[in-house]
Amino acid sequence: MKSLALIFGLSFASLTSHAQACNQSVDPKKIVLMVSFHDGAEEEKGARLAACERGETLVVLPRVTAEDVGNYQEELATFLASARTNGTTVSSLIISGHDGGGEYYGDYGSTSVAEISQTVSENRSVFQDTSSLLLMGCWSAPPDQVSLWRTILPNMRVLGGFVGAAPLSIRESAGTFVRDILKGERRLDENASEAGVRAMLKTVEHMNYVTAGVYVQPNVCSEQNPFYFISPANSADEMPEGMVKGLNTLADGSEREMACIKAFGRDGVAGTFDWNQITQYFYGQAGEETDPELRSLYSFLRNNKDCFSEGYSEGPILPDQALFLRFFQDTKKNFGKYFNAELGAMYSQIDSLVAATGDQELISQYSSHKKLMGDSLNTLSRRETLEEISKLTAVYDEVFARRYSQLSWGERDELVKIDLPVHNMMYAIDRHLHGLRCMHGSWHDYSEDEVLQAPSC
Amino acid sequence: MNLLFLLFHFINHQIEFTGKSLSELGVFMKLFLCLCLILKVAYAGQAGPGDKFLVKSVDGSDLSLMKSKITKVLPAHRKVASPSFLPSVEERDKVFKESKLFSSIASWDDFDKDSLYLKLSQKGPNAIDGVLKKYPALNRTNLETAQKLILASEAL
Repeated sequence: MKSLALIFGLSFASLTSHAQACNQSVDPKKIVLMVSFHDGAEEEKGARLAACERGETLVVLPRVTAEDVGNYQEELATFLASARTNGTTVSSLIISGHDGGGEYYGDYGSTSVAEISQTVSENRSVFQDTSSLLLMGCWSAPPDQVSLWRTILPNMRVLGGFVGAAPLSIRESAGTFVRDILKGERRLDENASEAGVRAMLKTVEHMNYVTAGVYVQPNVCSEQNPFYFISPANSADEMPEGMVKGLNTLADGSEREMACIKAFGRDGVAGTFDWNQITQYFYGQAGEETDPELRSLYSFLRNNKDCFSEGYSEGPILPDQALFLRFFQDTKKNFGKYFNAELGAMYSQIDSLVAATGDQELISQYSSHKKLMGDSLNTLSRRETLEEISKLTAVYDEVFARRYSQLSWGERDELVKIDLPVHNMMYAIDRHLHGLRCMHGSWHDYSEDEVLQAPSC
Repeated sequence: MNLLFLLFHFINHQIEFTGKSLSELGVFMKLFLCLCLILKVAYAGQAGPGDKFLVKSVDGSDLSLMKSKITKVLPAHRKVASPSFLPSVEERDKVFKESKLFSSIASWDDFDKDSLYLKLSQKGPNAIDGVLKKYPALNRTNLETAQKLILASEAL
């Protein structure tokens, strides 16, 4: 009986929302785009009312009828193709789905921040004026998500979402949140002061009963710090670090975080830096260490060094590594100089092992692999060095396995003991020559008579 | 744990060998079997980093020890932590500017500036000579000033 009442109630709510007619003229080329992955009758009702007041057209994707549900991806592609052709722009974007903060999903489909970022970057003309964003999902608007969305939608003045559990899409508070944020954004003066922002937020009905997180930047061109509101309804353990309930300002750290996201991307959102280019140098697949391109790549990494220190981006190549990459020839020589005795010992051990196997084929194969020391090392390019490291590891593994299988249990223990220095040296080769890590900065410059500082790890 | 499994298999084997059914076993034996089964299920597939896996070589010998050792000693290079030795760009440029080196090397890019900074950060009398050898156009006094600033900053 209760279920029947609920179904009846929902159907009625849905009907009334669709029945809301807009009594004023709307611009068909200004769109409030609502992507809803579940039954969002109240949210849709709020969006429809706000769009009407803004003089804009509401488009809801995917289309849901009594018979079926449209394919979100297909409908979005159709909408965007049409928008690109006839100059339609999206002024507001609403995304409604479960589990915000990266992924939005429900009965009618799913999307993610990364996917939307891609869509926006491929349809710049459609999203160039998007000034408000509503993220109707749980944990959709903590400060780090705000930073991410600011890079995706640079003209965004208002972002409304939740720092905790979001209200169900069928709740009245979900509808009023959508309605009043959209209305407030349109009315917000671009010169609005803190008082103006407070006034705007006060118009959002039920705001203090939901776990709202609202970002407000009245003027996107201004250098004024943006505002960030946290609802009093948020519990203590939901509070973002350094923030208080009520109105906060997003401090400089947020701008730095944004700069890092723009540079290197995050959570699947692409940054401007092309990692493929530098990794090609790193793996010796392309270029020489004197290439101007490598210099500019290094400059980019170097000037965004702070992004590596606080976990904004864990890129494959750190600035320190890129420095050694640029000065690889000298780095390599210093490596050979510092580890000369250990390299010699390693090769002796391997020589003994190879000889002990008695395998002529293995002996002849291995004889060509003693290139990681002395003058031989000095002549190798980055690519050749990496090839030699790879060959050495493979040969050693094979030789060790062969010899190991030839020995009795007691003899094997002895082999393992002898084997330790070889492994340590191979570890050093992997860290320094391959990984370009742990060396002191002075290793980038070779000098015959200079005493090298010990590796840092 | 292995002993429990061995016992479990032994009892299983005894049941099969004697042709007894489960209902013919005593209560304690049944409980023991249950315990063994629970432990076996609970621990199945939970291999940790220190575990050794049974790897057979081509001739059938056990290479478990070797494999575990290699993977332990040769991790991916990316997992090796490495503290940075580079100062911030601002800090570096400030040193060059204050020592008046910056104006003479305005056209230098980050590679060159970092290289110079790292050379100057070397203690000892040969550091400046080494720099002048590589960059003869630079002024010794300015270099000395820059080196003092760098060493004083203890950035490295």
